[in-house]
Amino acid sequence: MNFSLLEIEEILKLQEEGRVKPQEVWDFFQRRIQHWEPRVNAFITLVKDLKGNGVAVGVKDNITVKGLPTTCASKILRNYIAPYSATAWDRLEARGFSLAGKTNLDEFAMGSSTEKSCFGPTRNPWDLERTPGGSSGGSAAAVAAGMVKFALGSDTGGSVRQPASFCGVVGFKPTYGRISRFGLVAFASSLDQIGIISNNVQDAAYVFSIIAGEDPRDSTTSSRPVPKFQDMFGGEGGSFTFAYPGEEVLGRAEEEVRREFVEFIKLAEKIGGRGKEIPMTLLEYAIEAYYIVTNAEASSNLARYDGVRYGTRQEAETLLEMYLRTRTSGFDDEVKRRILTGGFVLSRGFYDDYYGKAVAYRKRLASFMEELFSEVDFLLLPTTPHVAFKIGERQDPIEMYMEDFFTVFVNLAGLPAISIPWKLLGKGLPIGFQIVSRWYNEIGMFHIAERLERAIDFKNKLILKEV
Amino acid sequence: MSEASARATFQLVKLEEEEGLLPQLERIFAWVRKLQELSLPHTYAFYPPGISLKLRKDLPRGFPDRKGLLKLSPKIEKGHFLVPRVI
Repeated sequence: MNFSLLEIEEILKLQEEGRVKPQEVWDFFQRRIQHWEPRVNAFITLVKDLKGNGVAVGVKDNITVKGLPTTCASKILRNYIAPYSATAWDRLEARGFSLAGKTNLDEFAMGSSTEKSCFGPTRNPWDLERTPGGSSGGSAAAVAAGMVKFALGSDTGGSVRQPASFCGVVGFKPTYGRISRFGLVAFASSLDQIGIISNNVQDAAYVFSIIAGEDPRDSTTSSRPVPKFQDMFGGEGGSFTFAYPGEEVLGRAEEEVRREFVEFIKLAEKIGGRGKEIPMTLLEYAIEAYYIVTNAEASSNLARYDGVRYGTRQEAETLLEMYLRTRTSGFDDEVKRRILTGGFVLSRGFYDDYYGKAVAYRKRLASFMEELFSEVDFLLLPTTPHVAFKIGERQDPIEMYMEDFFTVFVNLAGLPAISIPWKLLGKGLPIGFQIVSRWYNEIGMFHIAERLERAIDFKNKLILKEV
Repeated sequence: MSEASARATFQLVKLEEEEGLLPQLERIFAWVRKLQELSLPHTYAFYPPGISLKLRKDLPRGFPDRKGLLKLSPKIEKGHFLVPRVI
């Protein structure tokens, strides 16, 4: 039986009825790991023994699992063993899910290609010469190749949705505060959220219903009740309204993606949507504001990796020298760049011009989104400007930052969003489109995403193929 | 810091400069400066004044030494500090 093609609920039902044993399910995913992992390098740590219901889960290696390494793909944390589990994983484990391994990422989730890992790059299973996107590229590649049923990632500026688009899978980012960040290694705390990568919308919703909800160990979690999975789907689902941006935003995508996006809009209208173009010139500045805010927060969050509190220490004769050596050799270039940029934008004389302006922009963006969602139910737009790029193709850091143009504003405003696969484009590579919703409307978003998904009927040939 | 170990540390830092990390930062600062073009009337970032990171040149100098600090401490009697009684 190909368990990749079944929904989580279906597998669990088969187990309940005694028709399938956890070991069979586990062995299926293990076979796929044996086949794909040497080609893709999606995992940093693999778990050999079955514990739980056999439904294999990948957890990004910046989310802690008690007793296992949590490296953040960084040399500085290569010896760190987590003494506690993240709430998100705790809740999954309590429901019997089986950890298959910790997945690869860009160092400290800072990147869009999963190339910047001290364990080597992850490859896109659709084309091994290409990146899976990032930073949750290991999670997306593992789900796309059917090595796991679903995976947890983290989304600070699109790190779940962008790799999902590149790998032809579903990538979901909740409203800020919906899923506990306890156990998620902090990058930019005011934007970080744990997200879900799966092969279909139903599975993402199912996992969301388990891991979301208030957590006393993360004071930023919302106390709002989490919708029950049973209430999320079903019914005919009537009409809805949506907005889409004009050329000022869509112009950032490649011609082929723009053309396909028009088709996506038409499909949304066909299933009962009423769309209208709304100018969104404000989004043009989102990426700059995003890099100021995230780097400012990262420079503070990463101060703890000093060889004293956390991090593999490089011995030296004096304390200052030890700090210098530990951090200079422990972090790679991209992380150093961001720490230095963050320190700069927070420093006296530059603070108001950079950080202050970015925070003001963020407030304006949130007001704009509030206004937008008082007029329409959803916002539709591409997830990525193009299909997956080749490994080593993006050398310029600013060019790499621009990869996240369509996703970062969602995090700045704290909105929920989901990327669903559309189709294979010219090069035989998948591309996804995004549905963004008002705060806390995950239930509505899943509902529309599932209707669109059914209408699109994307076939992931990677999981269809037996190994 | 011994001379040899200081040299080793310096080499690490030097390598970063040669590999272009610092010049790249200049480009990034120029790039994010684009945000300055944006006019945001009546939108303010609320944060307490004076919370920016201090540059080295801003740090207060001329701290009292240990002896000076002890001079500022309360008087001691029978091993206890004599502090003003607060009712």
